[in-house]
Amino acid sequence: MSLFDSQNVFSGYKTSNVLQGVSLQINSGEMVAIIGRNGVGKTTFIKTIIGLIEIRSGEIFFDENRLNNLESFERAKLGIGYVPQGRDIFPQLSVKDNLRMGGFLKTKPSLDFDLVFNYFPFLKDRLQQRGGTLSGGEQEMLSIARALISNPKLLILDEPSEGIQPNIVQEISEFLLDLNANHNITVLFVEQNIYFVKKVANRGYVMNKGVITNELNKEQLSNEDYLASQITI
Amino acid sequence: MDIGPLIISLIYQLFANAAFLFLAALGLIIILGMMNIINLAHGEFMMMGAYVATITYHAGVPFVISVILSFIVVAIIGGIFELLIIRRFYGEELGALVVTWGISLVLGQGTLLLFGPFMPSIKIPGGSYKFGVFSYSEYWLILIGVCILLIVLLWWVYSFTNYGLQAKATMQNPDMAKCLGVSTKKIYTITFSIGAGLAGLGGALLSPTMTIAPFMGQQFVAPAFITVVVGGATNVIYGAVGSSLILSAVKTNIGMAFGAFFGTVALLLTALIVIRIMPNGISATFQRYIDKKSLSTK
Amino acid sequence: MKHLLNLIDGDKDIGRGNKFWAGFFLVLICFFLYPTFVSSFRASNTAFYLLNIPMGFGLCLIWGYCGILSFGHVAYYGLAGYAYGIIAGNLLGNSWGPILGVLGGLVVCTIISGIFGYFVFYSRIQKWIIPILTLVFTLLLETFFVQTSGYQWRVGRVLLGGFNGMTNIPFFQIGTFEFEGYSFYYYCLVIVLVLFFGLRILVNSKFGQIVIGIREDELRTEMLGYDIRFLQCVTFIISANLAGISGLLYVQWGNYITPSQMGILQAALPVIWCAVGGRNSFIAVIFATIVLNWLSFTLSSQGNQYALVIIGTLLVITMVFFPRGIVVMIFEKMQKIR
Repeated sequence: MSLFDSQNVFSGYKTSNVLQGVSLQINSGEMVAIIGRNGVGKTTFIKTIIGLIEIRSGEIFFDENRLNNLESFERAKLGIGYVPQGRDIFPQLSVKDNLRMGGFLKTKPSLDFDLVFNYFPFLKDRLQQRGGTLSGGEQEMLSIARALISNPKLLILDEPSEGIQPNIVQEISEFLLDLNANHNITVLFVEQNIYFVKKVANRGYVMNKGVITNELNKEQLSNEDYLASQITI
Repeated sequence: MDIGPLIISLIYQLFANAAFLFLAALGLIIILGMMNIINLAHGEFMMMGAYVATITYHAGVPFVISVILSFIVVAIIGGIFELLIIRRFYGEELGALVVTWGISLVLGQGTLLLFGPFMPSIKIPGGSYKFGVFSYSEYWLILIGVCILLIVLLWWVYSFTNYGLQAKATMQNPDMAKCLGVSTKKIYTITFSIGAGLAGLGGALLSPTMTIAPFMGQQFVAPAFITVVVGGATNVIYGAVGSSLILSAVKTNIGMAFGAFFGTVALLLTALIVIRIMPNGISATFQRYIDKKSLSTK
Repeated sequence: MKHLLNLIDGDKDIGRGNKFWAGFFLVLICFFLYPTFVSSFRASNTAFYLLNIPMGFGLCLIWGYCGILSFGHVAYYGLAGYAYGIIAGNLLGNSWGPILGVLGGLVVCTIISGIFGYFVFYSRIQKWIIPILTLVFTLLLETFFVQTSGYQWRVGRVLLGGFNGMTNIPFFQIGTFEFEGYSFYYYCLVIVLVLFFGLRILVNSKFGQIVIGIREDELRTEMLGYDIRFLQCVTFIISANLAGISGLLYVQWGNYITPSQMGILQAALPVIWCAVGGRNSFIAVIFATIVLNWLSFTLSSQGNQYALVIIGTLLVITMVFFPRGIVVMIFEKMQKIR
């Protein structure tokens, strides 16, 4: 059985639906990308998974648990690490406290801080600094580190490269690959950055107007022109 | 006139008034800071604390225990209100204002009906000292000490407990806190209970200095709210402490010169001026200062 | 004229169309005929319910239509009352006294609310502070007036009266005709009507649209080029004057005023009327004001001390189950069924 399964999910804001029946699966150990133009529902889908937006119709399963009636914090505790668009670190908490906030999920014995510091050594020097005063790239890494403290089974990232300088985007992509290879963490991410998608994903979905229109394999994902065409229909 | 004793008297007044404001406003600031809820039943929570104190005290319980009981009882009552009523108004600040007003009406009038117009008062613990021509009440010195204790306690809770960390995070970004496994609903209930309990505690601590009656909470409403407005909700502790001290300085000096009423008017004017310059209260300005400092210690 | 009629029939308040107005005028006729069936005393009591309606209108305007909750609106009720008492009281025997008193009351309201409004709206403070500041202001006024007992606290011949308040305030008169009893009832009724139609015109006009826009989204309305600070101030001043009108009618009804009229219990009342009836509808406010005043009068006149507890509980229940007001939500339900 797949680790994550979304079946015909509808959700949206106020009176209209943004997602019009999204169905996709993710297997343990994969690195799956969702791509598509702005406004097609990618972030809405992510927020629906994590429970910030209510599922109106359809089912979502994670690790054989049905998520529909669970609250966000209950879903997170099942082993979902969420790195939102815009980082969403706690601006007035210190780096250290931000990381501590990642520790309330406790699925398995957690990744200890040392491992996280291994990947992001700069965090160690900044423990007392207020989160809001970090740069965009640093915040992204902090946000990812925070999501990893609890050793999630599935790491979800919403546009991790947005607004971040290219060399740090590179670091993050390498880090994700390493994480997946050495710690068996499944990754789902939404992205517009073709280079990032090409480098990191081993499978992909294209979303358009609230539905999945296309599934892409590794070969198609390696083709930059093809990817670009999917994003700019 | 000897300047020494005068200065000491002024300092004493300053801290005593600050203690009054601090105890009156603390519960309110915590609730406001966490949930953006203005609890107009705050005065009644204080009153209930005083009532618990006087009832238990006159039943033979030592005053210290009475005070602690006040905290617990009012905290529980606050928690019940939160679960039943208040939580429906998150995000609707004006609605929360109105409904807590209704609650305050019911609590005030209800207390009058249940217990009558007056309760036996509590004799003020401790004696008084004379120093020069001025006299000092031992109890106010104790209250000042209690405030310091509360500040330390709160600082410890916010900095070292899991609740404190989750509460701070929920204040800044409740959605993200949820995604990190925090039950924000539970945090809100606990915080409201703590805020209510602290109001009850304040009422109990201040009860020996005043008449205990159903509408005694009213006299705290104006000062508490002004303290909250000036302090702001960005950082509860700095806001409460800083605001209490500044407003006390204003009130003490003007009150001494022109009388108590004008002291309160001066408070209102100070509040108006402060919000003109610092719309989010002094804690917001202080927070910016701290952020800048933390940057420079990279 | 046609244009004005259209504005009155506009959609910014509940009730429009021929059926509604037919019903409205039917009820109005009942109100006009009412005094012929009851004693002067009774009519006077009912007039008390009516005279509070402008206060409700004022809060409805600033809260329901402009989105700003003024918790201490009774401050203007009291200020106008005291001003009238001072002016008319000093001009006893002069038939222009009461009229000047009325003007004085409104001027006082305008000036004070203008200053307050300037401070509050032009400093761009967070919205939740405004209710608190208005509340504190009215409490301070109450405290001030309470300590005005004694002969030294007088203006001209009129004693402010401290805690017991000001007495012997003259009736309103035009020429030699004094309004009391039945005539006072009609005087209130007419004023309420004039204000009602005037306010309906106001909220359905362009001004009203902008004010509602400010309530909905301040930034967007500002970006459309409107000076929202000024408009909020103006709306606040108008609503303060409406509260003042109620204050004027009150002293002209009872010939006295006490500081407690500006106290916390009185301050709660208009908020309750608007919350229970529906804060963005003048019709709902009329309804709620009359019913709730009747309710508390009946309860307290029967020696029932539970009046305020009942009303407080009613408020809480209404806020929880009818957050937009009972009358408004019933009306919304009726719309949906149609």
